[in-house]
Amino acid sequence: MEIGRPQRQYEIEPLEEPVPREEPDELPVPDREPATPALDPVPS
Amino acid sequence: MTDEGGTGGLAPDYIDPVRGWRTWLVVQGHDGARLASVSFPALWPRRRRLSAECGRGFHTGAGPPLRVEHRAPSLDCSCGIYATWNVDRATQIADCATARFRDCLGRPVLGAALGEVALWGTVVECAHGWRASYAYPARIYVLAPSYGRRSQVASAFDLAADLRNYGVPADALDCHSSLEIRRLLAADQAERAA
Repeated sequence: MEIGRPQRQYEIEPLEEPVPREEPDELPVPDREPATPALDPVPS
Repeated sequence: MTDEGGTGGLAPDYIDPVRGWRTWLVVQGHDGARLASVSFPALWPRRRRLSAECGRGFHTGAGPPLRVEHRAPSLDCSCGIYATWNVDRATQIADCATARFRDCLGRPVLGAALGEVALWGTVVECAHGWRASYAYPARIYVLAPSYGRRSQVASAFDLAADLRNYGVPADALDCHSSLEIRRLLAADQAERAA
């Protein structure tokens, strides 16, 4: 692609990249964390 | 090209991506239509930025050619992801691309598209466009089968529907010449601005 001679260079850092997020129904279903077992009561 | 990398911790000069025009080939992916670069063997990922790498490491500045490893793009190289300032130049490229390519990266070419692209990271501004380190499509127009005298194997409307998986607007352009492309895009932009 012919775009001509370079003129100048700069840095662009968007606050948020212009890349669409996955649709909610396209997101993989996360594995559920196993429930933390209830702690046995500590005898006083 | 990959989707790795960053801006290297430099303070940015701007926070808004530039927006240019470019042409793509539309190729058959494993899970539907995908955009591919015309002059470089790169598939554009869905929902992830495309990142530039310099495969040549070839310095083209003053003096004899010198292989220098560098991050893309560089002022002294021709590397980077390209876009043009205006649609006219992208249309000229579409004229060539649609007549020339039958396959790309071992995949059949289904058609051609042009559209707007967001560019950011390191950006080299040139006389008629930009070269950048990161890019993502902003708007896609699939060209009609009759455009460029190619026999497109899928309808522009079907391809546009498939390309909406990029998460950006994708429409079919029922056009038969560069002049019609410019007229239709001007009408579309006026409609969106209203």
